[in-house]
Amino acid sequence: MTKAQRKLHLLSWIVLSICIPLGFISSFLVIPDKIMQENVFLNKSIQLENILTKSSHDNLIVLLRSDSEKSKYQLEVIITTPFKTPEVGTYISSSQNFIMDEAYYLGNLGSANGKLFSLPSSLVQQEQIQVVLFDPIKNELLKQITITP
Amino acid sequence: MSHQYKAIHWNPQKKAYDLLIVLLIISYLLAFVGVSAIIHPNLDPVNLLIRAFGSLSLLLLHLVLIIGPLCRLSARFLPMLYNRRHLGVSTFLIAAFHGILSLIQFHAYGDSNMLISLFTANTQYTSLAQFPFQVLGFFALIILFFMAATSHDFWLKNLGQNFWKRLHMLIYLVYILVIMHVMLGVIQLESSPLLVIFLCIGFSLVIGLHLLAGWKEVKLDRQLQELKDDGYLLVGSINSWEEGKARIVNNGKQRIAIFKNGNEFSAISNRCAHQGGPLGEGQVIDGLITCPWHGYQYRTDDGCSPPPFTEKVSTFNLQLLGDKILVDPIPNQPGTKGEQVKL
Repeated sequence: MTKAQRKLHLLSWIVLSICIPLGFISSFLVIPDKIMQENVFLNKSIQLENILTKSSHDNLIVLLRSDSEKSKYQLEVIITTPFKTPEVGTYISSSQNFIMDEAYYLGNLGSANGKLFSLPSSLVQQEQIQVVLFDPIKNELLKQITITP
Repeated sequence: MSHQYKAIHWNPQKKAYDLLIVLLIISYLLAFVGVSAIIHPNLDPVNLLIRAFGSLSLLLLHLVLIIGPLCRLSARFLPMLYNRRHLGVSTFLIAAFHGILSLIQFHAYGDSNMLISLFTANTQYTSLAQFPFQVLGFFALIILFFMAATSHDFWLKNLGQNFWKRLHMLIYLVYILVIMHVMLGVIQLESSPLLVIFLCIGFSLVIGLHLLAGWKEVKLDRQLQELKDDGYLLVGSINSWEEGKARIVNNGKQRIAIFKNGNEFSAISNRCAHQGGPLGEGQVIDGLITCPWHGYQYRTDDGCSPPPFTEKVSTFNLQLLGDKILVDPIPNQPGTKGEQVKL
């Protein structure tokens, strides 16, 4: 290297020796107290052992499951004939009249044979649970199922 | 020997170096994936690969960056420098895997183009805590791409050594972008302090070594040789040379390497015509001065590479005064014969 190149290298590292620790400390100081990251796991939920209710509806079988202590609940939806629409949102509605923004969104039913959704126990305390399958693309209600826990 | 002379083409050393790189990469990926699969058996495989490639490219970037100063500080590390460009290209490829997988995983499922999504999914550019760190990684990857694409000697020759060097000094910009990419990205979301500790050790090592090596070089540049009445610089007694090795002096503008080869003393520029390597830290092999960085060779008398190679460096005239070797600080034209001292 030439003398000028050697000087440029040293100068660059003097600048970096100031900038990198400054950036490091600044970023370190803004780390949130609450860690937001959660590991993303495959959808391999284990079915809870107790079946509270089971009902069949044309192309669906819907099961309400719980553990032995009834502290955890699951809604299992088994698709016997696939939906034609690619996006099937699964919601829990608090009333017979489904309003998407007010309903509790469980997740996309997807194209798999079936899906398990965790249910907050507060939802299971109601007399009846309205399970709504809704196509958000066409804005079309596909199915509404009433379950009595 | 010229019919067998291969400067930087494929040779056993280069193959061994590349094999080592491949083994290092495979071992790391297997270890990372294996350990992660044991700790988090249900972890999404794409996320696992993103982490594996990301952490490996960070590790390789540190390795690439410490080789230079380590070699300036001790000749023992010179073998690591021999094929560093392949280590650099590997770093780019691993980082590219990390970048492409991240783009697909986090930006491919929306209704806008992945690259548009990269820049518009998070626009909190004024917030440090919420800064769109992926953009920093993206720019680092683009710079690495240009560096990898121009790493071949074809580009070194066509772009010129000075421009090529400056282009490849952008690795320092890449480094700060990557550090901030990690700090504003995964560190903000990571519960374990291990990554912060490793990163802190990593950049302290990189900065420390570069400052140490840079300071050593600047100090050498400031050491001027004793100037004699006739304008020649005093190098030293003829007994102070190791056989086949050089002593380096500084004429205020550049360094001169004065080699002893048997009973002959000859002086050439210390700067290799290939990548500016320190010829004076090399040695005479088969009668040719050999650069310690990549093995480029020059004849002792006229500073020309043996045919079919065409590189040339400047020579300098020498004088013998008693048992002392003196060197004319004014260089001869590259490739012209300099006055040697023959005992």
